[in-house]
Amino acid sequence: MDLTLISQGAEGKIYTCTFLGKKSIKKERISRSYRQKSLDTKLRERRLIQESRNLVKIRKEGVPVPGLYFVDTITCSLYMEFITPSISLKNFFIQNPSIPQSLLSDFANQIGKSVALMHNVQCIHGDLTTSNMLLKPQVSLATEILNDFSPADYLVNPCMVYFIDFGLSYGSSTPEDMAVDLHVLEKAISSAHPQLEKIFIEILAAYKIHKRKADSVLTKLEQVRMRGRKRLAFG
Amino acid sequence: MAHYTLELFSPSYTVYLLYFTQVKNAKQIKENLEKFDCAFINPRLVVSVQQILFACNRALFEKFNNASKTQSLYSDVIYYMSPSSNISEAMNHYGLQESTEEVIVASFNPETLETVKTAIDGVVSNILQIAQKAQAKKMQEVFKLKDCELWIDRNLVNSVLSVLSIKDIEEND
Repeated sequence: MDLTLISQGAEGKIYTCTFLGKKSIKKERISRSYRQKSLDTKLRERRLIQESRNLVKIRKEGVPVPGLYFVDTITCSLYMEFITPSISLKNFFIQNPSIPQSLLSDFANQIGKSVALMHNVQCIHGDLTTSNMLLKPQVSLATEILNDFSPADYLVNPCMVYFIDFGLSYGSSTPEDMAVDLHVLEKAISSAHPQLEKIFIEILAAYKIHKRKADSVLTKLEQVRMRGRKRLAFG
Repeated sequence: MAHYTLELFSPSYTVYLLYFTQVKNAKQIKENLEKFDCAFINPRLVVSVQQILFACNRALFEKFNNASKTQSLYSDVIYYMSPSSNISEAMNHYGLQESTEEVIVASFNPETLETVKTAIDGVVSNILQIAQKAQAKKMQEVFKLKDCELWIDRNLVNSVLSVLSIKDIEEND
């Protein structure tokens, strides 16, 4: 298999490859030797299955996520759609210093709606950052044009915001977990893109429209902001 | 005859496909099914060649892990084409029907397809035509795809493969 490593994290490796004749992403959960063997297998397998189920569950709600192509329970790998052309929201913000307000509002609306749709089915993403969101132009273009799509090109073509990396996702129905999910996003935006802090207000507005019982989550968010992501365990 | 590579395995496997239209002797083929070393697939609920490749890949994968669902590799191929975990329902949707006039034949052995060619009374057609012939409404129903999901892509391929990918995926104890 023609594997090309494109990214490595603590939990796994991301490759591009050809799978069933299509350019795809392979996400492999690597074995950690410091964990006891049977526990390691169990953990990798459980997280693999959790991630794949959440990916499909969320797609069913209409949230743009990569198509899942195959779950390999032996090597603990997922094969997924390679979203192309695409740019992470993080790189898009960094490489385009001035972004029209209308475009920011469009992205904020999409993000707020998608997070609401996930939460409506009790799915918490767990790692909502701008690097885990991809912009994909919605226009159909000739392959030659697609291959050299520059960061500025995303400014003039309508884009869809895809959500990726459900490796930390889990099921929960409590306003607390949803509020923490939103708080992580708020912190991610304010630390990576301080000049765009205001976008979070619009994200929340869209979230409020699409989330059932949004009020309890937003009230909780106020409390989470006061105390931070972690709940006090003692004292 | 079209052929495709299954990259997962090392060495890789090759799947050979033939698409027949205007088939006149489906009943006869169905009666002699066990004589052929291949899968006869009903194309009406096949959204693209990828769906067939997925099923072939999964059937082989399960075979190598001694986890086949049915008695033969090729009935496993039919089983993994369908979102249903009910074997007879999967066979009803994707298996060969007596009245059928179109069929896709899949095999890992190119010689089998030569035999099938002489046995089937029909016209060999381009496999890439199946995408246009898939019954989108019926597919949506069988795969339980809501309208809100369909705006993500312009076609059903990613949604169909996503649903199939998590079929029967469970933790081992």
